[in-house]
Formats: sequence, C-alpha cells, structure tokens
Amino acid sequence: MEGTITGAATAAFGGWAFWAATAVFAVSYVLIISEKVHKTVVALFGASLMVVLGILTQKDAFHSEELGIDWNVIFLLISMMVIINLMRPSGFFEFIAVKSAKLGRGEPFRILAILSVVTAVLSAFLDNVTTVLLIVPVTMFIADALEVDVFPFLISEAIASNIGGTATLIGDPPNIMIASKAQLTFMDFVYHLTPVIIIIMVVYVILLKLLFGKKLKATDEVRARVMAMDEREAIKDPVMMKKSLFVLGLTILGFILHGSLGYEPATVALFGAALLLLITNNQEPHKVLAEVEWPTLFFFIGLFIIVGGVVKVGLIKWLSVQALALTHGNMFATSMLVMWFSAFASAIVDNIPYVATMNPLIVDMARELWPGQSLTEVLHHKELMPIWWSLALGACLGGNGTAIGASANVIVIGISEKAGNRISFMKFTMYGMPIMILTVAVSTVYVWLRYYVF
Amino acid sequence: MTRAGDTLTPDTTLREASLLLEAARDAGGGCHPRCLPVLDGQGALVGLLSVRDILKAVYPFYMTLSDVADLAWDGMLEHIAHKLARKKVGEVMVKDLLAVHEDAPLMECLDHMMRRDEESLPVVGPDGRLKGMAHEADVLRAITRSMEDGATLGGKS
Repeated sequence: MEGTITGAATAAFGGWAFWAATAVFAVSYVLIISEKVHKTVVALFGASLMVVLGILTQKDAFHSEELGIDWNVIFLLISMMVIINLMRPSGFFEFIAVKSAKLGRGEPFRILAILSVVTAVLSAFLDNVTTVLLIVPVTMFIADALEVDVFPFLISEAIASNIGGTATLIGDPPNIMIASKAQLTFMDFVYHLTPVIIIIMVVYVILLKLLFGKKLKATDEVRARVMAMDEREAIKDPVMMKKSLFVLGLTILGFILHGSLGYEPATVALFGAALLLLITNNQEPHKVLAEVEWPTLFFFIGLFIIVGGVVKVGLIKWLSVQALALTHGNMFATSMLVMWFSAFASAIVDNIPYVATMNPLIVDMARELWPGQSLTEVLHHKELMPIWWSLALGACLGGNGTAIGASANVIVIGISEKAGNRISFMKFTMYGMPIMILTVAVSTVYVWLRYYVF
Repeated sequence: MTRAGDTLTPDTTLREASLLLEAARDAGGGCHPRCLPVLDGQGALVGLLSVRDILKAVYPFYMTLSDVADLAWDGMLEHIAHKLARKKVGEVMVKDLLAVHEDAPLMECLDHMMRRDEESLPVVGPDGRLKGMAHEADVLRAITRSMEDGATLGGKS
C-alpha cells in the first residue's frame, strides 16, 4: 500500500483485471445515470461481475471492510426505516404539521416558514424521502384550507429537507457513508456540520420571505379554518405514538453517546428498531420488514462491491493522484474543489454512487499525503477533516440544484403531479440552482473561516 | 342493451356532466345509468364518465397519502367541487375502454363486468360506433327472464 505512486499505478495498469474492473465500473455508472435499466439491477449485476471475473473474491465482497459491503451503512438504514415504518401510522407527523400551521396563526408565509424548519429538523433525524412523504400531504391539505398556491410550500419543503439532512450523521445517506468510511461519530457531525446548517437555514428562511412573502395572502375566514382544526384529532394511535417517540428519543440519545460508549451507529439503530418491535409486541414483522426500501439497500450493496473492485485494482488510487496533482497538494484548494465539484455532480447524478466513489478516493489521497501513519491517524488527520466536511456539504446540498438532484425532490414533484399541479424540471431548477449555489457559498465561507483562517 | 341516451364530449364541463348524470339517473328510476359515454366530434367513442369518476375528481389525492379526514373543515367538499365546475370531462373520464360488440353473447358482457368491476359497458356496432350501453340491470333482466321461463335464451339482449 505504501509503494511509490508511479510504482503502484504502473503495476495496476499492466493488469487485465485493471481494465476489466474499470470497464465494469464505467459501464455500470453510465447505465445508472442513463436510467435505461433500473439502478438497483445495474448495481447488482456490476457487483456480481466483479466477483465472477475474479477481480474481487467473494470474501472481499461480503466480508472485507475496505473492499466489500459496508454493513454499517446497510443496517443503519434498515433500522431507521423500521422505526419510522412503525411510527408512521400513529399520526404523529400529521399532528406536528397541523400544530405548526396553528403556531403560524394561519398566516400562510409564517406557516410556510415553520413547516420548512420542521421539515429540516425532521430530515436531520429521518431520511429525507420519508420526511417529505409525511409532511407534504398535510401541507397540501393546509394550503387547500388557506386557499393559497401550494407550489411555494412544496418547493420550500423539498429544499429544506435536503438542507436539514446535511446536519447530522443520520440525516442523509452521503453522511452515513462518510461517517462509516472516515470513522466519524454523530457528535463530530453535530460539532462540524450542524452550525453551518443552522446558519444556512436562517439565510434560507429570509430568502423564502423575499421570494414568497408577498405572494401568499389569506383572508380571516380561511385562517379561521386552520385555527379551528384540532391537531389531537390527527393522532390515530396514542399508545404507539408514545412508544415510538420513546424509542426514537432513546435511539437519538444512543447516537449522541455512541462515540463515548464505543458502539457503531448501526448498533444503536438496530437496538432501537428491535426494541420498538419488542415493546409494541409486533406479531406481523413481515409487514414492517416488507416496507423497508429494499431496492435502495441493494443499490448500496451493489455499489459498495463495484467500488471495491476499482479500489482493489488501483483505479481509485490513480484518480486520487491525479486529483492531488490538480491542486498541487494545497488542502484549501482541494477542499474547495471537492465541495463545488460534489455540489454540481450531485445536482446532476445520484449522490450515493458519487460518494461511494469519492470516499475511497479521499482515503487513498490521504495515504499518499501521509504515508507511514496508521489508518485512523490518516483518516482523522487535521488537514483531512475539512475535506470530509466539504464532501458532505457539497454532496448533500448539491441535491437541491435540479429537480432530479435528490430523491426528496423527485418525490415531491411526483406527489404534486398526481395532485394535479405539475412542477416542471425547469420550474424546480430555477429555484433550486440559485439556492444550491447560495448554500454552497455560505458553506465555502464557513469552511474557509473555520478551518483555514482561525 | 339500453339505447344511447345522453352522451358527453371531452369538452363538456364537469358541471354539465354531473347534471346530465343526475338527470339520467332520475330517468332510470334511480338505478341506472351511473355512467355516460363520451363521444368525440366525429361521434367515435372515446371514454366513459361515471359517478365515481366525478367523486374521484373531487377527492384530493393527498388524502390517500395522509389520514386527515378528521381535520376536514365544513364546506371543504363544496369548496373543491366549486373549483372543479369548469374542468373538462376529457381530463377525468376513463379512456381505457372495454366495449362489447352488439352481437356478443351475454356471458361475454357479464365477464367484462365481473373482471373489471364495471356496472355498465358501452355496446358498439360493426363499425365501432356506439350503439348503446349495457347496464347491470339489462343483464339482470335477461337472468330474470331465463329463470321464469326455465328456457335457454339466445345471446342477444
């Protein structure tokens, strides 16, 4: 591993395996981006080829921490999905949404701002798609009651969900993947990313006020409709709600403490999910488990193996050397390149395969820079930390750039279309792209000030 | 088969369509028809509009995703219905039609009703033009007659 750069690269370039792995990787990614074949099918086929062609052994694919499936990511996602699936029918999220509308005293813009903040906070702890799936339908109901255009609410919530998801380790899949690869804790994310996300949210709400503040008006009569709603009516199963809130709270406490307790986040989440299944005496686990997003999870599984293949043959190492040559080893330049490139890349393509590739690339880059140190020392090198945060900020916030940049956007647009309000690709992008650039610009200033000036 | 009475066009508004549906229902003694055929400018059958299609148009999509029925305000349905008054039949009609040929055996007609859970089917002539509608009540009439006679009837209704 510690060989000279040219030595490693030459050895790799000579091999048949190098070109085979590169071809499988490239064709898979092109097919995923083209959407001609379902991304999960592509990922699984590419992964199986890596093993069939002998690039990876099955042991590499299934059991190697460096080259194989990151089970930490898989089990964290499964467990959080189980907790939310159990919690969902209780009516808690409808309760929160209606409560927010009443807190806004029926004023449309105030409600829009509160719902955006609520969406961001929920997204920080739940996955973004789940959050918008829970909040958007109630929002449409409230907008109907207020007799106002629902579009400002929908786009504000989609974007808020991507911003909020950036704030924590569990908020967005890129963060989960980065945390696992870089051995970062929940509190590392709270300490390094949450502050900038709070700043971004403040800027975002001010921007929403400028964009939509004047357009949204409601008469006293329709405001009275909202104020007359009794949010407690939304709660369908109070016992379930209390139990799931207790377990969710306990799980978040577990995340906060996982570093000091020495548990991986996946352990904490798995315990939470299992505990909730137990205390609700769930007699039909097949139902809850069937609702888990298996296609997404198998997409991850396939990607981890595909990327493992190109890591093993040295392609990623070669790319990391090229990246370093580009910035001449200047770490500030590298972190800015990573952040802005990640933002635009994630706006156009899925940020999951992108981060799956960038993670080992950054690890290889760090090994080149600081040879002879242990893996943990390299991963947590003072000069490498801003690169991880730049990757997280770029990859997560980049999702806002276009209508297809993040799954939350796609879901919101889908629901809106089914409800009879089409949001075109351009209409979303006209709001999303400038907001993405603004939020990444705020992040740039933050990273520069926090890690390179002081 | 019942001879085609009122028909709609894709450009008919939901307001007119629901009035016609109500009138057709009253004329049929309240039991049929629950749907009307939709014909284009050339008189070709392009769709069907049923009472359910109108109810579906008024039922907000978000209520299928979120259980907010207990929070609905007085006048919510009326408010949405008012907004939809000028929507066109073409936007809500069922376009995926299953028509029976006028010479088809009655069992084929019943089969389509059972499989697709339809109360009425359009009946078309050899040129594909609408001849009338076959309603559940028409099939029932044939069944009742057969039971009374104890005899086998021909395929035509």
